[in-house]
Amino acid sequence: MSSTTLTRRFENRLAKILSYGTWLAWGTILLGGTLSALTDRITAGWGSTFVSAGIALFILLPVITLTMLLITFLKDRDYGFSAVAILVLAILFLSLSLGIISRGAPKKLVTPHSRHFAPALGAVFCR
Amino acid sequence: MLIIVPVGFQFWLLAVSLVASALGGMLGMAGGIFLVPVLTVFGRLDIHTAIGASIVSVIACSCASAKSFLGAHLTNVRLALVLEVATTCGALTGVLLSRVFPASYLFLAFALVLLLSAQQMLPRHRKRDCASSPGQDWHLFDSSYPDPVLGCTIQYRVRRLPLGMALMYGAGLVSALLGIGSGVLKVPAMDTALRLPIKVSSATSSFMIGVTAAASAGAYFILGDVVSSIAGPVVLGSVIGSLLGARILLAVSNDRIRLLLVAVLLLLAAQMIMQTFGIIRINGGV
Repeated sequence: MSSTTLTRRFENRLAKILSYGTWLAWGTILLGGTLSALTDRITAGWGSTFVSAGIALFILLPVITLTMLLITFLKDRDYGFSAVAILVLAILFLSLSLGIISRGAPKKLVTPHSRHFAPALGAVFCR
Repeated sequence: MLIIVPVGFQFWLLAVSLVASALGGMLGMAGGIFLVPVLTVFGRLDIHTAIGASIVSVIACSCASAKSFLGAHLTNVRLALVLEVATTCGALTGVLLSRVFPASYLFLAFALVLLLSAQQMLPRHRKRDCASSPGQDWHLFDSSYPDPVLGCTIQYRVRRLPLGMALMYGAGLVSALLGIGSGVLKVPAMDTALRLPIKVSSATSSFMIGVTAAASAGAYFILGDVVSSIAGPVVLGSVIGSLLGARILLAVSNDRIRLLLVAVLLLLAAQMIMQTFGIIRINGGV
């Protein structure tokens, strides 16, 4: 069955991409963490950026998976499943835009953070 | 928002998430269910920060374990995609609810999910043999997987998809609201509603968890709940922990692990219930 072999090959390719993506994001966070630990103010700033980039990459990995699925379904002219893949991607982007919209709203997050956080740690700086 | 966290605390976060994910990985799930209680109860983190860090680690664990599941051809990708429509919708609802739910309710909800998980985790024995092939009436999602233990390819059918979708919506909601993969809800849902073989359920659930968590993690990331100095070490530890957990899974008796985890879950549930009342007291005092 040719369709089965195609699926198997696709699964192997997807597995490889997810695995590379995981280690790339992991390495980026580790690099950022190491830079942050070097107490220099400039490297700490860079470090934080790298950590955020690594986290963003992890959040993007499922989006890459979905896009790969979509491309495969389109190639197979499987329009039903292509539509489902587009729908899931659309929901993901809706969720992102929801975050962007609510971000504009007045923020109540900063105070609870510092309130629950500070007593246990003793030395936490918010800036 | 840039929060500077002492290096010592970051190492603590790394160690704790490593252990939490190793515990989860032994059962083939992400460690969020252990991670959030530990971060809030012992790390004294704000529950939204803990959930933000945990949900990213859930994606990381799902991506890290995808290789072994996909390689074994256990994942039903088509079914996962369709169920993801329900789980991501649920996640969207969960993100919205997380803005209005008071923290004390989140702790209580978490305690309930922990108790439910403990119940799910009790050892169960079910056998499946090669003879269970469906024969005629081949459906869209029906598939098969190679079983190395039985030494044959097992064919299976997908049943009661609408019920499965409804349960998945709930699982997605809980996942976003509490920052867990909620594989502990997805696997039984697939088991009872769709009647999938347990291995296929775990693999498909693990695959879906990444996409579901991405829906809420994206929103939390933008909202500032994902604090990089906390989520960073948590993710680093989780990836290593989940890989370690998968190794231990192969080496140790399954039933013994399950009983140990039931005890851990009950302990954490008790802590979260205490935290619920603690939070109410603090809020009453302010």
